[in-house]
Amino acid sequence: MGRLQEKVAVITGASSGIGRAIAIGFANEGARIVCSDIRSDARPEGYDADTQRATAEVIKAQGGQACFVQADVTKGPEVEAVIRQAVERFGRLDIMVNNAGVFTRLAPIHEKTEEEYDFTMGVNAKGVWNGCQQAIRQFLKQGDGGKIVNIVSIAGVIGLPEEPAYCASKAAAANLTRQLAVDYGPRGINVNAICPNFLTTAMTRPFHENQDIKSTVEALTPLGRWGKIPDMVGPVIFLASSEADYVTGSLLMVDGGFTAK
Amino acid sequence: MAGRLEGEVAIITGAARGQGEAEARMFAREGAQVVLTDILDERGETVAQEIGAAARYFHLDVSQEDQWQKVVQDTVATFGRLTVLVNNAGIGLREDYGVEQTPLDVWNKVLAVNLTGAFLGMKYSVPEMRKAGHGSIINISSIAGIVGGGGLPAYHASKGGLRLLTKTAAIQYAKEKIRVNSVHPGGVDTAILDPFGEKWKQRAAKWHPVGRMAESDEIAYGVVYLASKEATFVTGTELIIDGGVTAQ
Repeated sequence: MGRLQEKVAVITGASSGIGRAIAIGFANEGARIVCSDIRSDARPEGYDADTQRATAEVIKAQGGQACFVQADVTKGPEVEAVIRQAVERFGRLDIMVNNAGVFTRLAPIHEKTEEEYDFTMGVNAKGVWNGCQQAIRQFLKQGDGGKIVNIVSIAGVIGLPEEPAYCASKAAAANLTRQLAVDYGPRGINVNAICPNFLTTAMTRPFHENQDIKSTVEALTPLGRWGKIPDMVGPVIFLASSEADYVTGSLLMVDGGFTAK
Repeated sequence: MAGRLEGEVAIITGAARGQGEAEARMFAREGAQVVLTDILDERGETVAQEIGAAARYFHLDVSQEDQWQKVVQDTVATFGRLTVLVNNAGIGLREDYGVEQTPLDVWNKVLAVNLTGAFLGMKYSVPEMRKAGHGSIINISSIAGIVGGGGLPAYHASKGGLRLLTKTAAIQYAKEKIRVNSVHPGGVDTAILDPFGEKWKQRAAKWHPVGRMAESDEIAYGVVYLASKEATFVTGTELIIDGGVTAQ
């Protein structure tokens, strides 16, 4: 009996990296998964095993239940359609993981463009807003609560050099998490986030391959290493499970001690 | 299915009742061997016997250095090693009313149990964790360690001190694979609240966005998570289990 047995979960950004690992991890705990992403295949520049197979195909090959629904999280109606298809396919929604996120490039604000700001805020802030809004509407229809886990970042709670738009967007997602916990606590809807450190994904490959940045992150992380994708899966399963029924409005740091300093 | 704490040996303080008892029972269910400690010997022995061969009870007043040394020694003599420490023992006293009102002996007593107790636990457990090659220390602080309140100055000071003691130890021992995290419960309906009365408890439930206080198991789940391999990248963090109180 898995810790998420029979639960129905929607995961955005599920084709690569953290989202892919969460989807597979949830399925291993017995959940039925709707994988959503702007693209169906894993990003080739990532570090995922088995990239030639889509996440839902990996889950099905292991005997789990999963499907893929294409969506751009910056578009409310597209996210609404993902939730609708989850309900049509699996009967209900129990867990929403707002994982889709983007990063453009390292640069201080005086060198940034308006387009970079809009794109970053669109996915990382508005995308989380859309996911929370659509999931909560479905939870309220069902009337028996639900779980939302937002994948934020340490950039949502501290300033990181040359990441102005990313930090602003993640801080927006972090405080939206706390705000929604207050409004929907009385209705049994838990809203929490994890805040990862730098970890090796397609998004951060340019940093990881830059020896200066790679070793700076190692030096600033008490555990002395970058995060790995599997490090994030257990924390998200915990927050999505009934073990965390009394946890809401929490930002769970999964950062090797980065923000403890 | 193998337990999530298979192979771990844990000391849990304040384990005779309430949250500590729930943690001890859950640890054993997840495959750990558990040493329960408390000053309530009869109750502690009974809980350990109910858990069975995976559990032992040892007397421990956490404020006493020599007792800590003996408990750590006895744990290793019994189960071969020590890999998890849960500093759960804590007190709150009604006489801890305000800065002017709290008598010095009350202040000292609260600090001795809630803060010095955890310090001593870490001091004597870390060498054994180093020998074992890994460790996880979980300090049970409180939301009172994150936000101030209208009273209970010694309690807030002890829990706030524990929060930063946790982060400091986390940084000191990170390279040795000894992780140190704090848990911050909101109201939990256990004996620690008895001095404050039923009316106070009903009022306290309403501060929580979820509209109720926690059950002990709801805190224990978080402690299991931090002790397990699922949290190997988690150190120096605060796990808040408060039904949304501090999100407000």
